[in-house]
Amino acid sequence: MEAAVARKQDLPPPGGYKPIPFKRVPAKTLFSGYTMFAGYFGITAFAMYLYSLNYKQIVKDEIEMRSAKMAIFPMLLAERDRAYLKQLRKNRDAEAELMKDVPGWEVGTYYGEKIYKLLPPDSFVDPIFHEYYAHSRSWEWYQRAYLKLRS
Amino acid sequence: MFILDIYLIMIGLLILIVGVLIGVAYLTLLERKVLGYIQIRKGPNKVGFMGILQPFSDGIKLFTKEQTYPNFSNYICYYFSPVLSFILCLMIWMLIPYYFNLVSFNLGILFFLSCTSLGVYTVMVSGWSSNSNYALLGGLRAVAQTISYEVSLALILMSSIVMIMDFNLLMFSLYQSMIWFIFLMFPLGLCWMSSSLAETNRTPFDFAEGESELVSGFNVEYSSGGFVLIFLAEYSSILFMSLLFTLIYLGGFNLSIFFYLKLSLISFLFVWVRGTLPRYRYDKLMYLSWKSYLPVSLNFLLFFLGFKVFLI
Amino acid sequence: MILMLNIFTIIMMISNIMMFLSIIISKKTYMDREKCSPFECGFDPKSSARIPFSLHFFLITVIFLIFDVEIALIFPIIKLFKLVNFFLWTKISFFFILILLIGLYHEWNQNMLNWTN
Repeated sequence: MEAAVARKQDLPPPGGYKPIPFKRVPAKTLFSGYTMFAGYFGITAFAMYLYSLNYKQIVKDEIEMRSAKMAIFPMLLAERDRAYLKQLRKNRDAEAELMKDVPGWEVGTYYGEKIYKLLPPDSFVDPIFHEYYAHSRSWEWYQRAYLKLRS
Repeated sequence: MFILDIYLIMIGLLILIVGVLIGVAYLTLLERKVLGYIQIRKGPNKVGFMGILQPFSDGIKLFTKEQTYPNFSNYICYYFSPVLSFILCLMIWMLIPYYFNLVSFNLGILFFLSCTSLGVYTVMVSGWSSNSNYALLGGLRAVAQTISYEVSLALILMSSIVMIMDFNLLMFSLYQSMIWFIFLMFPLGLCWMSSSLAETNRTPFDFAEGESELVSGFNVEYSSGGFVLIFLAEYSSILFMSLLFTLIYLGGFNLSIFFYLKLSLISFLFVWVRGTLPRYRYDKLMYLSWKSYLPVSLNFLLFFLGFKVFLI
Repeated sequence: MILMLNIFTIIMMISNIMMFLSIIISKKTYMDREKCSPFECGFDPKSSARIPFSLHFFLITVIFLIFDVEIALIFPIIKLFKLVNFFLWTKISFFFILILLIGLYHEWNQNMLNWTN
């Protein structure tokens, strides 16, 4: 019964297995230590040279950017002052429009009484923040007031 | 105007988070495939098309697993420390150097350092609050290791910051337009690489979860959700570390496609190291940090300060 | 600042929702004494886990504290580079890092960095 099925036992291949390589195979050394140190120093020195070139370029760019900013700065200041004065004028006009029905009201004074009595009459006083935004929408005031938080 | 900007930034944020999560998912797939081919077997190749959908099925399986309530644990700490670590890892990703549309930090490196040092607390708390011996030992080891590598990490970072004299991450690409910093400071680059391996508790230094001695370290007691969050946090910090390596040492011009190729190459390096190197010894790990990386990075810092002074 | 707070809130919401969702959709939850006890290989935990731990970890933390404070003192050097007198900057930064380096060597010499003794 059992002999009917031809069995094949697992045996080593004819001639036996190949010998197991016991010998340690060390990694190939492409460079010696001195070469590697020399290569490291050479590459680093070359990289430092390239970095110094790049650094000089960056410093030049920074100087150019700074001088461009300096050149445009008076213009920006003038624009800012102009916008500021325009807003002050708008505030004055809005106040005049708002208080036109009130008898005896003069714009910029309290019923003809000056706010700053000791100052000479044509001296300019900067309005405080809330007064500057008095006639604009509350959202604009909010944006300006919390600009630092929002950025 | 501000409101529209904020909407745009929020959409960008959501896209970034989804991108990070999908990237982490495929990083795990990459790790399993690479480890498979390193150990001469095929990795996962059945789910979806050639195993493409494997990470998602893993995620769904993990999420539907049972959540345990360990009896002796401090449950609030136990519950919230994975959440906190996940929050921290996503907050670090806000540093990704875009030129517009997201937060562009002027002091990004300080933000990075503070987030990574907060990451120690989550490991410590999750190890302590599980109230198991394995978890506590793993947590202690992880804290000591992460702390001591953080010092050398910051000091290695210092010498490349000295080269650019700014804390803004965008400046790295400006200063490396001619030469990569890996050529300028090759030993420091290697130190940074292995420090970031130790900082993310990866394999030659994975004493926090050494399977052979502590079964899984500080996260033994965690099951479904907590384990997922710890896992995601770890792998996203791996991705971020490789992003930082690419940014600081390998060019770092992040508008080109090669930036992302280099990033994935470095994260492949993390996986490769896991497949190749055996675990280190704990005291040797400490010696490596305190007795070689710290003096080396301090001396190099002195050298590069001198170089910078010389250039002026 | 508000932007950072918004981002933090969104991220916190996302991660809390993930954790909460995993608790809700867990497939089977039943309480079992063995399942809820801390993990040990096949027996009940004999000793409490909150044992006194090795002092080395604490000493490493103390050394870390010193170095971290010094790193926090180094960082302003970078921002001061464009602000202060260059000669003073050079002197201060070099002496600071030299002191840090000598302190490290001193600790090494006093065997503070040894893990085993």
